[in-house]
Amino acid sequence: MSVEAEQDDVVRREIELDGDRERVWAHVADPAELATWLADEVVLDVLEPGAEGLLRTGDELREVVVDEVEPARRLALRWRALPDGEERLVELTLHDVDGGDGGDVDAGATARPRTRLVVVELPWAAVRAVAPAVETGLPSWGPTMLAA
Amino acid sequence: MPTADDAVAGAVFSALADPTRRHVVRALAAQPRVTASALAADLPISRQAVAKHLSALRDAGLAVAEPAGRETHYRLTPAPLADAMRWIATAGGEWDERLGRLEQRLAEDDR
Repeated sequence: MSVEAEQDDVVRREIELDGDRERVWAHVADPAELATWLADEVVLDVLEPGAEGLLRTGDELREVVVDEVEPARRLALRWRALPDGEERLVELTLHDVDGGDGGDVDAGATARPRTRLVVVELPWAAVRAVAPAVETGLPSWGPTMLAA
Repeated sequence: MPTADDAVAGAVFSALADPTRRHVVRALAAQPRVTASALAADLPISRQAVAKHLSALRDAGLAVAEPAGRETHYRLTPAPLADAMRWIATAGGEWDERLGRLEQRLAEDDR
């Protein structure tokens, strides 16, 4: 598997957020919370592997399928804009930020935990091309997805 | 909104996901037009392998083949690369907006 092979083609964003991983995860793992930041509207019953749903942002609709969920650590999903967008892999990972808010470590109780959220998005075709092993064990698009 | 750019970008990403194919693109970029045999001489792969990569690049709109007597010359047509870059800018901008909203949402929790 080559990470180097995909570096040029990846959209990657990092942000440091107030709160520990559990707190940030609460905003990632709840479809109702996702509707406050990821999209205008989220139609997804649960956030678990294999779950399929729909996202709306403005007048754009996206089909989404959840691939992997590691609570407070990682969410991987694939989405594609309707009617004929490219299938894309989206991965969100949460990391502890050492030193809390960057203040004096000795401050102890006043140091607030922070979490680094890393987002990577790239066309699924590119993932397949550079890392065939990634496919193994992931659920495939359901019949309704394939019919689109 | 999904556009034709998305499909173009997907094809370009797929074509460029292969490291060897990116070597072929660099070799193509180094000269205005070149034959598959000449490319193979510059690269550590066979002429057949070069031909296969050139075919994939043509499918993605990144190269064109032009007959020249008994030979076929290949030329890089990089316009789809610009489309792919535009896709990255668009998708990146969307994530900036989403993460900004998430940051604000977490700040609201503090109140």
